[in-house]
Amino acid sequence: MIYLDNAATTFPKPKSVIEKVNYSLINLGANPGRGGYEMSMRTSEAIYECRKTAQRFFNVPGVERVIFTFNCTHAINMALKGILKRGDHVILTNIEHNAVIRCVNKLKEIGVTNSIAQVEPCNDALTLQRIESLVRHNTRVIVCTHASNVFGIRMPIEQIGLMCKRHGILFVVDAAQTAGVLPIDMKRMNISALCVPGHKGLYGPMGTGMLMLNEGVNIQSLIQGGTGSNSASLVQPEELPEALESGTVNTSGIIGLNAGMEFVMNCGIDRIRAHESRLITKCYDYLHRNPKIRLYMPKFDNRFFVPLLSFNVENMSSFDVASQLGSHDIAVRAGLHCAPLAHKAFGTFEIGTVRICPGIFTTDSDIQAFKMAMDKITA
Amino acid sequence: MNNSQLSYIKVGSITNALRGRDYLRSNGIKAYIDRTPKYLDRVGCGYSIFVSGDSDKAANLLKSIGIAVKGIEVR
Repeated sequence: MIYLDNAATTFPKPKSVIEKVNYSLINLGANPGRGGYEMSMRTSEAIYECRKTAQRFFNVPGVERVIFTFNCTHAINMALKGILKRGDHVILTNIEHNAVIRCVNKLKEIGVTNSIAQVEPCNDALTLQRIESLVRHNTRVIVCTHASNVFGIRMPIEQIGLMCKRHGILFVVDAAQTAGVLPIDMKRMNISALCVPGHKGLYGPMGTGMLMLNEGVNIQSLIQGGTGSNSASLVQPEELPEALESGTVNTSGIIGLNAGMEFVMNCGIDRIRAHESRLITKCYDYLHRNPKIRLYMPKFDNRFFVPLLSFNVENMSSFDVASQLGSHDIAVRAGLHCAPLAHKAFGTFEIGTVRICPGIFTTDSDIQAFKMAMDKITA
Repeated sequence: MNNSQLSYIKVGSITNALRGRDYLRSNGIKAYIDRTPKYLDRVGCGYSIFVSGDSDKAANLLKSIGIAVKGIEVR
């Protein structure tokens, strides 16, 4: 199989990740942070190592500010619902994933209002101006994706972080498509809460994610329960990260995630992005030459896009194209990609798009096979 | 101060225990983690850092990085 659905989850996983998960299931099977016996302590150490790796990877102000979640959506919900309360206002953009959109819509029920900023591809100044024009006296949070999961549009998060600082607003970043693809420095970028999946650009197993909180950012817990500490108390403890991690964590997943982050650091984010950018540029150039194919963004440019793209074929539904690619053993995703507002913005809401996204293990011959399959589909 | 003095410093969570242990070691203090002993654990389960040497100095170092010290027991 030729796998071009790395925006959904990266595949295959590095050998080191598989080995570490396997090792943990055999050797680190005790509950971390609960027992005092040797295997429980070793498991706790392994979880702690992952926190330390994440702290270095994203420049988090403290290891205790790395909170493990089940995925990026979980982290986004924890951040937004843990911060926002009745009377607050939140700004999001029209290229958000439903992880943000549906969470913000749910918050309307408790009296949190929202405004949606229109993103202008390749024009950061205009995008920033539109976001800032929506700031109100009660704006508590700006939440935005770091890059669109449909069109690859990069958001100027560094400048938005500065804007948030100027206005005293908290900044929540959905880094689903960028963690492990673009460098992210929480402190320098003034990110209040950084939400990442473990299973995409960090090459960890599915069922892993992280919420990272900047200095001074404290949120309410969504889930209360056992933390392995202060058990006689009927009240949820306040110490991070346990206050936000009730119940047993995904130990083998987290250990695999640590191996994934180490893999990315060893390869180098810039090298990975350069590889994927070169491949997506080849795809773009090929698709652009075919008159039956419609592309929605300008030519790939690292300053404004991450290496993924969406397209459609004349007189074919995106699902049919994906299905035909599937018959050539090429895996891509079709449809709305859980981002309806982005499709409305670029005129693809009714038809969806076919999305391709290479990963570190994608080769030139994979792209060649994709082109040959597309030649046949559009013949 | 007795350099061979052994103490339990109760810190609660496993993350604080690991974080505190690493910080104390980086400051030249011998430190290990253990489950908080039952005689110290009057409010529930948790973890302690077992230190050798000046427990007050160790406790102050822990507080300086935001770890709440929930009790010290000199052995």
